[in-house]
Amino acid sequence: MAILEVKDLVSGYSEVMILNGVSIHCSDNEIVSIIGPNGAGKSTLMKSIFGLINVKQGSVFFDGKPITGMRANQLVKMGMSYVPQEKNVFPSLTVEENLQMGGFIRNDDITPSMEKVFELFPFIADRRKSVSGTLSGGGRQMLALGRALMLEPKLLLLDEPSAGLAPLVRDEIFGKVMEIRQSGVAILMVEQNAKKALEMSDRGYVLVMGKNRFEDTGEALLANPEVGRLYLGGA
Amino acid sequence: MLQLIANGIIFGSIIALGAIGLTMVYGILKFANFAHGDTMSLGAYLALLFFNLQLPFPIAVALSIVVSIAIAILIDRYLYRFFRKTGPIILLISSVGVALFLRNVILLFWGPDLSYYTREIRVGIQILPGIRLNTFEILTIIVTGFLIVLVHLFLKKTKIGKAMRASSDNMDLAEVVGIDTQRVITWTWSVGTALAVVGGIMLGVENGLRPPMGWELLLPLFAAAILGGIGHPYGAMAGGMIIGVAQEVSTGFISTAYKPAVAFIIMILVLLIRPQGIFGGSKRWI
Repeated sequence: MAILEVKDLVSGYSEVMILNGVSIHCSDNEIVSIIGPNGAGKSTLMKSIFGLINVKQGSVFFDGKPITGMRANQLVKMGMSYVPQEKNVFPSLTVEENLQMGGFIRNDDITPSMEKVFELFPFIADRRKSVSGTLSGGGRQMLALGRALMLEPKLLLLDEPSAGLAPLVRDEIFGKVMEIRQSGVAILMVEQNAKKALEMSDRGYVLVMGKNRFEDTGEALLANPEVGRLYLGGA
Repeated sequence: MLQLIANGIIFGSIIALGAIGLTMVYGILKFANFAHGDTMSLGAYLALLFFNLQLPFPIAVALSIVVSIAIAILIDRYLYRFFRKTGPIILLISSVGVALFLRNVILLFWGPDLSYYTREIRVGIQILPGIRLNTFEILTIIVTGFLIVLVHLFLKKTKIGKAMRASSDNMDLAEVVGIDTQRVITWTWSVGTALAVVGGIMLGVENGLRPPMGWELLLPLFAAAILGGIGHPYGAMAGGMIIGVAQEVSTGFISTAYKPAVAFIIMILVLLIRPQGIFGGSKRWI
């Protein structure tokens, strides 16, 4: 069963279309990466799915239900969480308050979810009363992931989770993403760090000029000579 | 001198109550609301209206708060909302329009003359050697202190208060996270307007009511908000007290006509030396 299905999506800003017919899907408990050169429309695709950019044509289905054009605040209620690329924590709020905001729409007790997040990220658990603006880049990324998990989502959209992080921290974050996936959350991820992303993904898409050009398992894409030459730095 | 400081704390309380709302609206809606002073006048006059209907004063105050909040939310829904995506300058100019509108509505109904809640003569009580305050002035200080504690608890302890701080940090992220930003905006107007109305009524009790009373207060309000670091409620509280005391104490040395100039000079000095304000700079809202 596909948790997310995107069909022939056309989307962009005012008159300039960035996406010209993108079709992707993501199954339950699957981790899917979208890679591609700068300006291919990777982030635009994420924002279009999450209702932050108006979709011009095409359709998006979540869990079998049409969600095209729905706003973010409706989507979070259905079980979709999105972690933007940057500015993804509230800097003046403490770690704990950030997580509470992640569970804003919930009216039940969010303490168990918060404890689960702290279990997954001991680093931020030790700093739960700290103001999040004082956290390191990696700490902020962990907090942003944790905040998205507060809704116990079925699908997590990650926009460049490794952007701007040192290699060691990056590997740690990728490790956490794998752990999240093992807990039963489907993940759709956009990554600049294509090789690493494909290694850990079940499937991948290569997005070029607003269209998906290649689709295969992560391994197969890594082995594909054309993809390697054009988009993985020739290695 | 002590008496001047005491007077300054009373005037400072009124400014602080107004400046908190001004700074909150700036923090969350990202525009300088020039109608905030006239909201204070409106609240004061509405309280007068209800008081003259023979209602007890506390009830008149409560009714004025409720009606003023309703008006503020209606103005937001049917005016500011349409300009939210267009940028802060257009919002600022439309708020000047709202300010003129409110002031002229007041003029239309109540006329330009000085009005009073009561003409009773209030006798000052000796509080400390050299300080005499009347009961209303003592009440002003107590009520302001109480409201400041209340605002603090609201922002720090309640879910919607935290959501307001989150929205002030990053409105787009607040929306992504699922925070009901429309509700946050409604609360921002409600809290800001309620405090402004209380401040306006205090000013009316102290000096009588004149239609331009709130408009004339705008300069010290902005001075207080900027001094505290605009967008920071705690800064606005402290800024209000500093501006209030500075203005009153200055009258011991120079003509009272220069009172607004004192606020203006403080504002210019802050902008020159520490433009982020005393509480700004560190990215924290609190």
